[in-house]
Amino acid sequence: MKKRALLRGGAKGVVSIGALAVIFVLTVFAPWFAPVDPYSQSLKDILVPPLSPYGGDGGISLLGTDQLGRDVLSRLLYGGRLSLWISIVAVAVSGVIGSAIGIAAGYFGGKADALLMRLADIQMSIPSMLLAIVMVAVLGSGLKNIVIVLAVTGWVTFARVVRSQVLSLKEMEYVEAARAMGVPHVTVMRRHILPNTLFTIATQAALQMSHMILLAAALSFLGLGIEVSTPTWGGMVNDGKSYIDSAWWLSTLPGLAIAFVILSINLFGDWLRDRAEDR
Amino acid sequence: MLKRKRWFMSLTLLAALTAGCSTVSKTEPAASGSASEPATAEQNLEITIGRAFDVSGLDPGFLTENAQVVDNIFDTLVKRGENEELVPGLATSWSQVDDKTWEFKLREGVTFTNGEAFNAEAVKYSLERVLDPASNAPTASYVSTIDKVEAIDEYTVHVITKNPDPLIPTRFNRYPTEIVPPKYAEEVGQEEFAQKPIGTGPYKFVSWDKGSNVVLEANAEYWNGEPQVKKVTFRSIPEASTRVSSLLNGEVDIVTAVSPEDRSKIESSSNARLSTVERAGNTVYVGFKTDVEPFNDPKVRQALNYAIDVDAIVDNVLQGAAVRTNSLIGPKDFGYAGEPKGYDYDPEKAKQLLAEAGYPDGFSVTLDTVSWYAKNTDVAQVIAEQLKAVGVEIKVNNVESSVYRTLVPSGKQSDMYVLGWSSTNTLDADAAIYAILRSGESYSTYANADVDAKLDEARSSTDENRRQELYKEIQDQVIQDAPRIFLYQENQYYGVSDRLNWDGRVDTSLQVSTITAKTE
Amino acid sequence: MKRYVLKRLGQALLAVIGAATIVFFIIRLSGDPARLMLPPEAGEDQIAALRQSLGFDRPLGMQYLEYLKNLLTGDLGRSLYYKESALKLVLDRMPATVDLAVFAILIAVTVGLLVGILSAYYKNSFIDYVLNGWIFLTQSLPVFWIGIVLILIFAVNLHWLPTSGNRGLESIVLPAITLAAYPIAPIARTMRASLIEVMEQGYMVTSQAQGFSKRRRIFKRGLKNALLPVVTVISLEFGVMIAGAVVTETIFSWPGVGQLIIQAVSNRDFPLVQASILVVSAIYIMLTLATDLIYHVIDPRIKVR
Repeated sequence: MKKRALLRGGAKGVVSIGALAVIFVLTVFAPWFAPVDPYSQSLKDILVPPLSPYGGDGGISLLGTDQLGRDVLSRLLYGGRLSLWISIVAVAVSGVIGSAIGIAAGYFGGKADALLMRLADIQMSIPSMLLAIVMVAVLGSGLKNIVIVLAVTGWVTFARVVRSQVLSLKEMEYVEAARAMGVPHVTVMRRHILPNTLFTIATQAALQMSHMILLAAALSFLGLGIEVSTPTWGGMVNDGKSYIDSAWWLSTLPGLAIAFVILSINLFGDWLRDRAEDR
Repeated sequence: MLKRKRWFMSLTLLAALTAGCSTVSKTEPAASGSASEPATAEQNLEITIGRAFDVSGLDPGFLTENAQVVDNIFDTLVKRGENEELVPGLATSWSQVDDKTWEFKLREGVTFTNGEAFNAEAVKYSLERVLDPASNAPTASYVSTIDKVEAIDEYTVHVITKNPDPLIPTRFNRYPTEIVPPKYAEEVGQEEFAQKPIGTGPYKFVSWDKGSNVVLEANAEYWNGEPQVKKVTFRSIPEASTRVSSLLNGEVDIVTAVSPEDRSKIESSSNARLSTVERAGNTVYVGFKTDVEPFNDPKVRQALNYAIDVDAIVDNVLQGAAVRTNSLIGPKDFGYAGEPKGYDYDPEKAKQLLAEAGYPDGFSVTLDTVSWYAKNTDVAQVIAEQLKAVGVEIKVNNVESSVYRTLVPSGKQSDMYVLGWSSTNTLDADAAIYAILRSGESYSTYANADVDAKLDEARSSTDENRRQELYKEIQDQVIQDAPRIFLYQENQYYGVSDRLNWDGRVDTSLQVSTITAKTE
Repeated sequence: MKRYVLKRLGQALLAVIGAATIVFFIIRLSGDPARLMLPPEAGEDQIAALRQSLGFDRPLGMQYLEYLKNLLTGDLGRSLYYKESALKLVLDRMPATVDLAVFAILIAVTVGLLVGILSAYYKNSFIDYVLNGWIFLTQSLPVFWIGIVLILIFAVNLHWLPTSGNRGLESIVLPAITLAAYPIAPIARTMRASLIEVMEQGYMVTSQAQGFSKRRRIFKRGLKNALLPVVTVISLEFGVMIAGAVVTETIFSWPGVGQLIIQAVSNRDFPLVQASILVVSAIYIMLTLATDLIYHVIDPRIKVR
């Protein structure tokens, strides 16, 4: 029983690394794999269902076409690039900032904790839509602005979760011992606290990915960031909104793509963790 | 009150767990089931109407949205008949006394639902409170041509305008000219009045649950006869697909603003039908900033008109949810002169004109679009693709709607921008074009002294033939000058339950008193 | 303890004023309400007159001082659109919001914890993979997708439940499920990760052949530690539901605070935006306080001070 589970655990590594590699190759080298130009419209071939002939020359559209007759498969491949890029950057930025704040707040406690956590409360109460509108009104649109809004709204989760763990970690004997020996705070945090929160941070990061992909699309709808014809997974999901019952593939397929990526990342994370524990 | 107390208790998570459960089970049992219950007897017809927005106030003089709901509580002096012609309302007749004076003869024996009498003083009061600069009425601009209103006798008023205004009867058809009871309005004050309105209309106000619904009941003493629908609930259902679903599920009887994609769902339904109102929506166009290169050259603007295949957009992208038009003025508007000949789809001609204008290799530009119009981003992307074929590179920029509303009037939008306009407020050419063609107007990016002069003359002439002639001339001139890419006018769609007789109207009004039950 | 809570309440007051201040300034960066309140036909003079009568033409500092002064007397201003007390408008929407959030969090916590425990217990088994696949699917499909599909199935096709509105128990089912769909994943994943950590700690201790009592003690302590992130995630997600359920509220026309805030923002209804964010930030701060107190209950070594 134990052995079977371990075997599966090993398979998990192979499967997740394989899946991530495939996603990486397919999206980064999208131009090689995409059957047609993802921007090319064909008003004669709108909303062609998956596996149906289109283009009038007997060609088959593997995953169908959208409301402007663009090939969904090609847009999925190209769309992965920008979506994954934005979400990785946004998660990384908010993860680093949030974790640092969380560790500092939990470790020092007292006034620093109070200040940082009230800041987090304030941040949470300001809707991201308001931030987005202010950004558009003041700075105009742009990729950089969208990442800023995502990072600014994303750090709270990291900070709060990491802090909660640090609160109990700092009561551990070895941390107290280190502090009693006069080890500098920064060193204690780096050597003893941070390593023990890494998995929590990684779990939260993987969870935030899909949120960031979808939020980026929602913000683009407010005019912040991505040009409308540029394919992104979140944008494709949104475009398909009015066709959920008449052309299911439009928003369901990119949704599945996001789920697949998130699942692979989480599997990979689990596998890393299993390995670390086995050692 | 009980509810409030309960939620304060529930501020902490644990308390919330218990309190929340108990509030839900007791939430408004009274509000349940109005539409789903079949009308037992014709005398007791109750209906629910699903709209996209809740009202933000119920005082017709101070609306910040359209008057679909309040027009059932109030009457105007002038009404519109079945074919949008002007017919008597609270005024039985009207005539022009001199250039600047209009006389309205009022209907006698009408009372407000609180018993106050309707008379000339009420008309004077209703208008003056809107015209008073201190009250900052949002729609004061709709009646800003009026200098004053004089009560000649109990049932005669004179409306005196600052300059000759041919549109006075039309203006007395729509908000903010609904007549309110002076005594009640003074007594409760403006803010209270907007919460508990009283009018002379076919319906009386019952309740307003903010964010959810407004309930009205029939006015049994209505001067034009008690309406058949005894109770009407206006529900706000912001999501278009939910609105249609609630119609199909029998929760509401009429839904407004059906999106083009949802039309087939209603058409194939067994308990509802689609009511189509052609050309009742915005006339959508792509505007150019005509003082900015390269759009200061008419040849460039004409070229771009030739480069767009409007029919393909209307047929494929909008799936026929709009009508292609080069006319600036709608068919039901005064001043409509038929469909003028515009620009055919001719990319070769477009390239040739661009070359003549000095842009043989095209140029690149940003096109702003906004979600007010059906499938706005799709349409903009197709326009971009079609312009690319003649060498013009377009970057489509979707702007958040509230930001767009402040950008465009201050001229901060991109050099090409999507905008739509409608004349539903007056059904007159003046409303359809003045604000977007007259130089200096905040939504206009066009300046042509000749057109300006004609627009001004048409606005102040009371000679109908002369006005008709002027609008025809303006139209021909503008098509030639091409300050915009002429696209289409949107249709409007309503879903109506099979148990009711009703159809949408071009003026977008929703007169519940005209709704009747279908007799089998 | 009592002193701690009092101190935290004092901090809360400052934080609420902080939130109010930030919102006061950034909402004013976003545009002019006078322009948006008037129809497009309105002229510039009319806009200027309205701006002046609303007092938005005065220096920003003066507006802010007056706002603070009113705030201290409990006056949060009147909504520009609804023309009534902004605070009352927000509080009127609160019961519906709390109802929905409570139902949704109950669903999310029940399902999330169950999935988390099962997938930790059956780690790396078929069940683990299926459960994980499912929760990531519900997390990755956007809220509107889930909402619209639920309406199509349970209202339009089966006629079991109403499509929308707030009319009693049956109308809350679909929006609550929709709102619960996203937080299931974070709750379950955090639970799974924490539990595995604890189980491994227990295993490690056994392998070192230490005494039973100590193993149990560590297991118990470990579980308590492990619960902290789970509690945090639950409180965070509950917080999001209070003001961030905009899409769910819109799809199901649920008259909650989220929709009110979004409408207020797009109308630039300054007083209403300020009042709603003030209330929401107060709720978040109370929620954080409650969470911190729960930490102390779970693990008494975490000092409350």
